[in-house]
Amino acid sequence: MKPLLPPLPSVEPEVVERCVRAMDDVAAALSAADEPARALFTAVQHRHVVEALTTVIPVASTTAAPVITPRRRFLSGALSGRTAAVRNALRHLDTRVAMVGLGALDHVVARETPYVLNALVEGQSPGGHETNAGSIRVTSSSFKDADNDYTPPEAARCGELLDAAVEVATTVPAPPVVTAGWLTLSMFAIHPFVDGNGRTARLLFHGIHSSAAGNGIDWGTIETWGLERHAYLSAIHRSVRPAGDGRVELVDPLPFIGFVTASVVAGAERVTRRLAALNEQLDRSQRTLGNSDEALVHAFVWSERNVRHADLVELALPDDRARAACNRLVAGGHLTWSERHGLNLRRA
Amino acid sequence: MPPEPNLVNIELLVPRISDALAVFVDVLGFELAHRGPAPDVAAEIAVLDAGSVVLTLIEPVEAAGPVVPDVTPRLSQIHVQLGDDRSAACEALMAAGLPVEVLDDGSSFVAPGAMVGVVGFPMALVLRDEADAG
Repeated sequence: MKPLLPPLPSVEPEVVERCVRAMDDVAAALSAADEPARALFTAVQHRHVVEALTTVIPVASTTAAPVITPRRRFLSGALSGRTAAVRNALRHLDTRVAMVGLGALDHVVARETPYVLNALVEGQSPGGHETNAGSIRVTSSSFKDADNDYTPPEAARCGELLDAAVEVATTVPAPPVVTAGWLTLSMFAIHPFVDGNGRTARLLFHGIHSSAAGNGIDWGTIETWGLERHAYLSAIHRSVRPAGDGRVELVDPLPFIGFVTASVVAGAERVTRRLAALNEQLDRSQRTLGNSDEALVHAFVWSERNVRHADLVELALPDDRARAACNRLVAGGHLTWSERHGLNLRRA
Repeated sequence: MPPEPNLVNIELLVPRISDALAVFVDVLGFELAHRGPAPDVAAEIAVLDAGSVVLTLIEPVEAAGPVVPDVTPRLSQIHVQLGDDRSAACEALMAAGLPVEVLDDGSSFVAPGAMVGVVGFPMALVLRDEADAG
């Protein structure tokens, strides 16, 4: 007998259409941008996505945040470790999304994917304790939030529940935003791993929804979950609350799916505004510095602030060219450099 | 113009105030200005006059539940007075990569979780205008 899972919800076609249109708008805006602007956007946006997947509190923690939030610094050791691990897991997903695009894989998520992602995010024990990364838990689990009394199912059921959820998400025909949101919520409800369930679930959403995006990446949704953390947690709690003592089949997906569809649209709008802002800055930098590596680095520093050498990797410039551009910008008085604060724009 | 910070208060969460007083007052000679129940949290406090800085020791009263029942538990804090332009200092902190929370009453702080990466343990950095002092 197949394990009982949360119901796959029916979502109004116009809601799904709004999500698809929002994602298409981002893809169209990116296609219209020239190569340096796309490289700049990808570098800046990748950082936003990694921070959000890791649950790094953004520098501005409300939706009234500036269109580009500065890069978080002074992360604790645990958070730094988690961020690096999520970056690796994201690379694994990006590869799978690309393989789906090439026709080498049928689906970005396979039965083993949650296990692999959990092994990647928890494998180095970023929290400083052993969590049996990539293995189904053998002990009981609980949501830590005080205002939520949902208890995940007993450990012995987790493996079959997780495998069944992945099978549903990859075989039952439904809009990607619905299957991605549903699998994410099911992961939360099952809570199959000792730690890293949230990161693993968000990565699963990102992978499934990205594989359906016109440009192969959902750039904005996960970031919205980070910026609207209270609404995100509230939606999860409202969805799992009816399931009480681990009866995952009683999970009500509608609150969470409603939040997800709204966040897809909000996220797409935000990253479109961000792309426009980056384009404008790149134009300003290019007017001063020409269409050059220096202009790209200058616009990157304008966006990120406190840029370290390691951050420049995200611009996908060869290291020698990135170094040379930085040195010329500092020598020319466009940027300042200090050991404690890295590269910054020179103040007038 | 960089802000001109003035450290005005240090709040330390301690397990036993009497042990802390044995060192800070009896050995080091700080003056005990006040000791008694905390006005806003379930705790006992001792306020020490430390020259230009006030040192506040907070011992949670365990039987009464969380120190601040409706929010996250109170943690150690330092209070920095920033002349008359707190917003510029907040901007500078955010530009450096630290999230600054601004409350409805206009007060602002860097949350303990974010300060872990700065000092190695959870401790709130509370930013105050001169008007907040006292």
